[in-house]
Amino acid sequence: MGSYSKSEGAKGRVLELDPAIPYLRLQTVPGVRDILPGEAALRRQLEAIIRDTLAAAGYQEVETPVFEYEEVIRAAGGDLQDRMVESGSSEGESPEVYRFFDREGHTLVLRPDMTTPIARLAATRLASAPRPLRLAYVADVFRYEEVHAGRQRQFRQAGVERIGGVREIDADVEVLTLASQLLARLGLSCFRIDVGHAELVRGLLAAGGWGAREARLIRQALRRRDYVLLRELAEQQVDEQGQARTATSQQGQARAGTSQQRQAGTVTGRQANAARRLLLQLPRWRGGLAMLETARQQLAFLLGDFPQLAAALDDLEALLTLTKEAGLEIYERQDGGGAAADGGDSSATDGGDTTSQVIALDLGLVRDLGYYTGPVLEGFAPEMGFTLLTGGRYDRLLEQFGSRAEPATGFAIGLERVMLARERASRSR
Amino acid sequence: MLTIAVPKGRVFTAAVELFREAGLMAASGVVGEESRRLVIEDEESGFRLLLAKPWDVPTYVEYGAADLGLAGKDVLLERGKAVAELLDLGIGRCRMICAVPAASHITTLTDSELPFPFRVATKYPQIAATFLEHQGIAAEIINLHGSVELAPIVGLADGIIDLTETGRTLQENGLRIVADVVSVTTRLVANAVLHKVKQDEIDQLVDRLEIAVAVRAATRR
Repeated sequence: MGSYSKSEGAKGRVLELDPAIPYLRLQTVPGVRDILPGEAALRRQLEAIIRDTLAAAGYQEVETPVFEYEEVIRAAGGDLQDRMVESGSSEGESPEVYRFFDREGHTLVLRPDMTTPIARLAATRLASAPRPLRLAYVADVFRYEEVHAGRQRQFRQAGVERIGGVREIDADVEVLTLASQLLARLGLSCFRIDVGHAELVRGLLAAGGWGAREARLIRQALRRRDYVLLRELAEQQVDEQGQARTATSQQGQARAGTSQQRQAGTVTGRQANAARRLLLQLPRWRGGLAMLETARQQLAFLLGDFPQLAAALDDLEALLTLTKEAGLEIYERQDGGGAAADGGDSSATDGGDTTSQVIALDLGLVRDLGYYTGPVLEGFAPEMGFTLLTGGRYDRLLEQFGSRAEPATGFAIGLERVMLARERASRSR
Repeated sequence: MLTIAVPKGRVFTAAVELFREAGLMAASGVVGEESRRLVIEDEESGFRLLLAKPWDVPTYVEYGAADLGLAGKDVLLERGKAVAELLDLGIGRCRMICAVPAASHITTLTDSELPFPFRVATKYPQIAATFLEHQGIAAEIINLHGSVELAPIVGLADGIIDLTETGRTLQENGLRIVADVVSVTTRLVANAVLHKVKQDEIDQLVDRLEIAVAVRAATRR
């Protein structure tokens, strides 16, 4: 960096910069970069594939402004930081947005994603457009995060939002199928899209009879994949009256007492304990339709009192079945998977690559429970340590813009990450 | 084959022992830490071990250069890495404490006793800041990278926040514990995505280790 003459470099004064030129003038800001002709051409190529694929599926491209009022982005609410997190891992505490102010004193932000701006659009200028609304985008988004492990502060997302319309599960199937198709057309021969369900985790949290604060901590532990903490929090068993049976019993009783009130006595001790055991096992619930069947059996006695669990399982079953009918490959584990399959030889064939182009269930997939209301998606390639694709159903967002409540679902892929995955894949051949 | 980032030193030895008890590694023979090699491939057990500095274990795992890692909870708390924490291995057990010179009049961390500003030297600025904030103490954190006990001796700091195992180093340097911050053990961590890709292998590993850890806990009583 900086200007120095080669002869000076040869004398060993390489790091001396020309004091006449401000150091920053020659830098790009950390987290953003210039793209040179070679890479730019590749990006255009991939974007063309994306546009073709999405258009062929009936999605129309829209553009929204690069910056919005902060109130718009806040509409997403819930665990806002979670929605910002693109990769599967929870990155630090609160990913920041880039904020600045206009002359009237309003706070403006650089858009951290496209889903919320498009929801705004759908609720306002496109309010009377026929439903279902199928919108697509290829756009840069901005997040003021720590720059490491492939994270940039400006990156390009491509995705779709399907808004409105009636039969929900068809929308989820359509979106999931399109996501898979898109990754394949972008040249990824090996990937997996995991599917979970927001109501499943919420249902288990309700069934577990925890107080609001504990439930939050548990959700956070799940989100952060801190299974050690999860075990500590969820292992506490309750007695028949749903009172927590711990050494600090007074404290536990006070808390459990409150949660009992909140649950209006619908949680029995037995149910709560079973729900807790299941919650602990949630991260192990990965597989296909066979695993789902096992999960359904294990949850059977809770389904009556907690219909959201039944609905979630039904959703997932329908989603996988219909997706399979649409021609996609569903991951099936040798042993039927899930926590019930202990003992026996459950190791997959080569223990290494368990993906080709498949859809799989991951019941422990937890992404912003305050935001997603149904199936949630997370796509990745085996070569990479981070995710390529996120998505899911978010039925409560549109009403935040004053319009009638509308079901909505969609997904987004990170262009740079897709490029990285392609590169790694070609290198390992 | 699973790649595991492990810290060199005592944790390495303790980990190998635990892995052996879990039936994951051959019962005898040296898993070579003697050579200067940083990558040890153990064909028999199916592990590829990366010898890294404790601070760096989470980095290797986060980037996916290692599937798994053995990381101290102190490092995880301080650096907040985005890895999945799978299991408490119960090894590398120690405590993070706050200590002051023995001769100091400070007995507990209450405002009235502390000088203003209360200068605390530590290798763990994030943990120290969070802890002290929770205690409602206004402190100046001095970030050192080692031999933190030196700071109060030469008057650079009023106290330290550091790890202790037996307490001997503190004692020998004339320091007295005034508060417990957090207890620390070594954890098994995993890359979030690779954890899903290699789920069967890793789940099996975790199950076996969990049993070994439980057995140890039971026999300790």
